[in-house]
Amino acid sequence: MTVTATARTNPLVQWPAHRIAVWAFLVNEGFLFGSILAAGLFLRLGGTVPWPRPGDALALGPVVVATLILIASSATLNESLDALRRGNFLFCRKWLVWTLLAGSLFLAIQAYEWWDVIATARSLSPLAGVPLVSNPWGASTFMQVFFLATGIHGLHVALGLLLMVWLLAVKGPANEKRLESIALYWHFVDFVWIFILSTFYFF
Amino acid sequence: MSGGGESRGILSRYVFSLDHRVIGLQYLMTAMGMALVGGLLALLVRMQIAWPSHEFRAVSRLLPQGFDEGIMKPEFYAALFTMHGTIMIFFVLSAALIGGFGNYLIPLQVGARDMAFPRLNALSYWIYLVSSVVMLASFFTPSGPAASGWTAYPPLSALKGAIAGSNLGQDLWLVAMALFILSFTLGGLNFLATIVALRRPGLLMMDLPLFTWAMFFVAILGLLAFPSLTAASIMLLLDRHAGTSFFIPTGLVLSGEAVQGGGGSPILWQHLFWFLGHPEVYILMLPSLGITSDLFGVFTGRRVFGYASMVYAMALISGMSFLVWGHHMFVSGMSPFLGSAFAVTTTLIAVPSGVKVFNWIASLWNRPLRLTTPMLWALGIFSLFVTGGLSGIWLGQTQIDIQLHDTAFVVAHFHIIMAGAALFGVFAGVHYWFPLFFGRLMNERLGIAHFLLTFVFYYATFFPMHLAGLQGQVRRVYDPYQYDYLKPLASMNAFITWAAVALAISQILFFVNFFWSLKKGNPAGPNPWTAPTLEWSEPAPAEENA
Repeated sequence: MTVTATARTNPLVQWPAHRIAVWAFLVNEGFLFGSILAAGLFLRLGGTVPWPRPGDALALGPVVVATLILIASSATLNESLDALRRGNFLFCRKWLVWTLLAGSLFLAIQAYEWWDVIATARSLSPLAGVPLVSNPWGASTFMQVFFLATGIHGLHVALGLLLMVWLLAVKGPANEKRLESIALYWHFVDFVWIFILSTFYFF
Repeated sequence: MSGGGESRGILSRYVFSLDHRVIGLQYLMTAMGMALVGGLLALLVRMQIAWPSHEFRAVSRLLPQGFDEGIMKPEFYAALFTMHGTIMIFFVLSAALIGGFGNYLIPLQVGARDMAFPRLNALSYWIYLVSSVVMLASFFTPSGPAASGWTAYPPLSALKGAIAGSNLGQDLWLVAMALFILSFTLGGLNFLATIVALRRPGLLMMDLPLFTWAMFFVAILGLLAFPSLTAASIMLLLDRHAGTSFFIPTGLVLSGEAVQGGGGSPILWQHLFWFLGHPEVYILMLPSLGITSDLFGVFTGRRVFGYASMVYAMALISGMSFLVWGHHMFVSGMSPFLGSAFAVTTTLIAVPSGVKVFNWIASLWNRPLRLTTPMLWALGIFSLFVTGGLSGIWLGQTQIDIQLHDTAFVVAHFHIIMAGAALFGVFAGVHYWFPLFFGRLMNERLGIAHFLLTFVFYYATFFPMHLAGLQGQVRRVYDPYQYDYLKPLASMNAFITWAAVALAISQILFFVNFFWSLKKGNPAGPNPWTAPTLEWSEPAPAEENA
């Protein structure tokens, strides 16, 4: 009876504990970002606040570059995990460093974006102050949701980078469980960025 | 598990332990302590409702900021029901049923040596403890604890000057809730990983006790529902401190002055809060439902009727709990079409609930019942589930809810189905698993007396509230008798308060029984209830010591 019982078991149910926990955590995180974006949508569609058209408040150039870099960093991290599974520690390390660089570059562009938005808002209406409270596009709600979503996303990117540094500098990357978990997390951070990008830049 | 136990110190064995059994008991004990606080708050609330100008001499000395020459201040009354709700829902019932029983029993019932991540598990408990302390600390701030209800609706909770409790108390409330959510998220990940990946080889999911199934769904509900409150709490903190206005509408005036900002929506908070809030109700219900089903199996000598349909019913209840949150907002200003949709989904939840009820009837039908204390509590849960479920179908209908919203009828409904069934689940579990925890049985005679008194006074407290609600008594009102039409309800309110006092006094029996049985209870042996589930095949702690 035991033998047939095991044979009938669903393959998903044979996942190791760490993978189940990471996936469950990412679904949980997905609902966090989902709540924030849904809140933005609610305020936009249900409220009476003006909303800037695409391109009015945010420039498209830097963010496209940043997005490409972030997607590329998912690929480099996959290469690193692949190398580890083949037993090639040197390549694993190398690709991990590339991912680290790409992630940092994304954060740098994001920081520039914030600085640019704040500076533009200040130059357009010197008296208005921070665009969080009021801004020349007449839609402080838009800016609030923008700063909240990109800010929390940025914190997630930073956490991913810290984890990678920890892996490289302290633990050594040769632990498949750890690297796999970080890679799953990193893909999620990319995935959720696509939704943030669409919400604020394209619609 | 206990191999190296002797060489370690008391601190690492009983305080900073990574053993899921110790962590489970830590949760249970902390929750029992918090229950004392939450219960006392409820008594103060009830006394104020029954005798609005009552003088509270002793309490006013302990918490002078809430009283004016012994008379309770209105804002302190608001703080009392706020903290009562928050503490009972999150820090007592969730913590005892899920943190306590879940941690202790999941590894045993799935045949694992411990949780999947023992260190993460200990971290969950310590974060929970810190969040409890933060929540309690707000009582001792100069402006008192949060007073915007356990639902913390803005703008009351968003504007620091709105009410005394909206100052530091509201911040501490938000921080404590964020910590609590973190603790339960970590716990939920651990539960899922343990149940799915650490089952003993050959043990199928469909062989698990229904309590573990309940924990499985509870973990999923927590992971999917809590993030919306996390997001909402961050936004509320930003509204309070960073000048944003996610929840602050345009044109708000506070004590004659226009509020800065605007463009936000208080309704948004309600959506986010209830997207958590309704699944949270099922987070409290499911463990009790699972315990009842398992105990019916043990004490009728036959597995509960329709095991598989019980699992599917729990899955349906869990899934549908995400589609009904709008029924808390029928009077908040929603499209009437949306209200109708939420009324339909709410009514549909009666279907899987009905499956459970009829399975339970079939389990008990024509069977010899062993009426032990845990079985009595399980029958009590059955009773509350039906009573509270029926009033739930009423409240789920927009037409009726518009009349009954925010009345004592709602208070009666959720205290019977959610608070009562969950509380009875705690008692059922403690009596049932006490021999497993401590190797001794609890005293049956005290246990039965405690059950009968609690059952009678629970209904005596909460059933008349339906009637008060139907006659228009609104909830959360400092002095109901400022309205003439409520004056005839004074004697009914006094009756309810006396019943609540009797209910509280009856709980002394439980604590006496608990601590007496720890020392003097009859030795239990390995499987005192002749239960078929895996946790009883472990050697009981008393045997290990012998």
